[in-house]
Amino acid sequence: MIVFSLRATIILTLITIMLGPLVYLSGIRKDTHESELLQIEASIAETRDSITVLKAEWAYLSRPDRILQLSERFLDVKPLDPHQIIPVNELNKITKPQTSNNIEEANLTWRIE
Amino acid sequence: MNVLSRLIRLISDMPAAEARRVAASRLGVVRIVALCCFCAIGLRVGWLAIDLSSEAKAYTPTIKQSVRGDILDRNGQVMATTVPVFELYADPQEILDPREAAAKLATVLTDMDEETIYKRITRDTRYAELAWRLSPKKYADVLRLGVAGIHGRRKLTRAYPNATAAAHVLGGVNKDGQGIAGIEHHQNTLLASGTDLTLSIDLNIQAILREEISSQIDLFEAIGGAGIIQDIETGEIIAMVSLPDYNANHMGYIADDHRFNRATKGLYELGSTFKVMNTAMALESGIFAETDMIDVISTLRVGRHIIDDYHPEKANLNVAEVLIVSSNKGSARIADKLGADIQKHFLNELGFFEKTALELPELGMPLIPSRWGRAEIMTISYGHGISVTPVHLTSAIATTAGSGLLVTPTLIKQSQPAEINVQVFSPQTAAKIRAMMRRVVSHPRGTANKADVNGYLVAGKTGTSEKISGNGYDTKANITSFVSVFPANDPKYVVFTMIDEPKGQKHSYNFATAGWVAAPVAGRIIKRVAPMLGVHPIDENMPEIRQSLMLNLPELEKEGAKHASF
Repeated sequence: MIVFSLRATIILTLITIMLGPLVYLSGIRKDTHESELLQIEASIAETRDSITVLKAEWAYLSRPDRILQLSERFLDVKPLDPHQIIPVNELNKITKPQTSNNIEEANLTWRIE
Repeated sequence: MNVLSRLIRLISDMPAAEARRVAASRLGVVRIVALCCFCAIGLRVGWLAIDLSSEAKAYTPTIKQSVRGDILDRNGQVMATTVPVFELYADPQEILDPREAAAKLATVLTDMDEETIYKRITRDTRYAELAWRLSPKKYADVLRLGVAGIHGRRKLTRAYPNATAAAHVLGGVNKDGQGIAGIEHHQNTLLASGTDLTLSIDLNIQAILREEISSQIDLFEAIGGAGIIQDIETGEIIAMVSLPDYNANHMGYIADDHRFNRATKGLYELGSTFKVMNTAMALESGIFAETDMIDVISTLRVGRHIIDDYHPEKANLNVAEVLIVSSNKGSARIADKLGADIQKHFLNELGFFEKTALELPELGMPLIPSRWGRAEIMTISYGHGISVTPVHLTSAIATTAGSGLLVTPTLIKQSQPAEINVQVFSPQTAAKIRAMMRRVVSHPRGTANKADVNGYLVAGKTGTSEKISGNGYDTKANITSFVSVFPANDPKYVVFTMIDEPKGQKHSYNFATAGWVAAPVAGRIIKRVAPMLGVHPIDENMPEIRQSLMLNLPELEKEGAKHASF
């Protein structure tokens, strides 16, 4: 036989009263989170837009014909000549010719023996 | 159960004390039930407060990937992508001061002057279009002006950041974003599903190919040209250009001549380059050995025609020499002996009787003779009487001078070599052909000396043919082409160059033949792209290289001695 005392009844009532606002607050919190979520979603979409635009702009700016023009204007480099390329295992075969006195000229005429 | 049955029994007859007890117990039951309810609600509320993550999951943004897939080059560089743009329009009725608005807008919309803008925004309408494709940045600039009555609508558009590079390969989309030309059309289903597509094209190589062909067109005042670089092992097209070309972003406003893909749709009689296949057939069929002598002196008559050579020969040549000095007469005599069946068999195997397998809608169907008589057999041997596209020839040469395995062209990046292997020519035949093609470039009597690049062992064949006009040939309008493989000892790539209607120039001593026009540009291209393609220069005088390119050339060696250099 269970009989509830007055105290227990009061406590239970208080709990019930407290639960009301709790439920209400949870609802509010949920709404806030939802709207935050929408904002995040929108910003993701926006960022994604910017990424595609930036990617396209990067592709536009790094297009080979433009790089070629820029390198011709600003860099002192020229396309490789076949004699400038040797396999790694033949590196030790490179010798510096002794004949030239001019250092620059000597540098240009490194050869594979 | 016990409690319930007792309660029912007590309803009928009960003493007062008993009734009180029953009432209290009933109350107890109600309390328990209520407690349970509140506990359940409390737990749920508490759980909601603590664990919001699972709730959030239900709202995870599902931003759909329904945008059209990008087209990338083989290194992942963007060739085509979909970007947001803004359509800008004005509602004239909302504009307070049209003069001021026009002045402000003109500072941002630089492609229209103030007067044009003013006229548009004073029209009697509620919708006056101002810009069709405004970048998000420009749109923001317009909004910052703070002009009332200006509106924008976001939409997606296709952008080709490389503008002209590979415009013919890419093609384009219509206003609904559906592919209508090029690979955009061919791969529309895949791209529309949001999947990215990686092409076999290398944009860096593409830029070099385009630049070189274009400068050669200018140098020889030609009307157009084409170039192809193909990987022999996989059949991948590394670069492909057709000139004149256009900016892919403006495809809708381009003249047909510019839109026409000379490399895949244009049909040309490619002339002497066909002698390579003719010689390969002669060797592969076993009817000729490369040392067999061919009569190139006596007159060759077929029907009303006489087949003659550009440079008449003074002595008979062997099969290899016929190819090296590019003798029409010799090639025709070889083909005559081979006959139509052998010629047709190999041309068919090489894919000359149908469109190529390239992933483009713009493909040319070769024009072959309806009647395959003796005259046709002979003229086809040196590339006349049959019109094919440059891709046909490039792939056929990749097959013939590669390893003899059939090469199928593709524009999609391949992760491994093709699985279906059809051996059209034996590797031995292919090696001999390469040795001969190497002499076309390296021997003084060869026609393509200007294509030689020290270290890359270019092996090729030139072709100069008069263009067909009306019923005959136009002796002033040439198609010059050069097709080559490199390096000759271990072929990796085919390079095809074609210049359409070059005019003789002072610097070319008035020549406008393939050896002067198409061959040198191929040499320049190879010199620039070989290091990028990972082909290392080698010393041609190494014994094993010399061995692999050995040929017996009695007549040419006599002359070579005269030239003192070989």
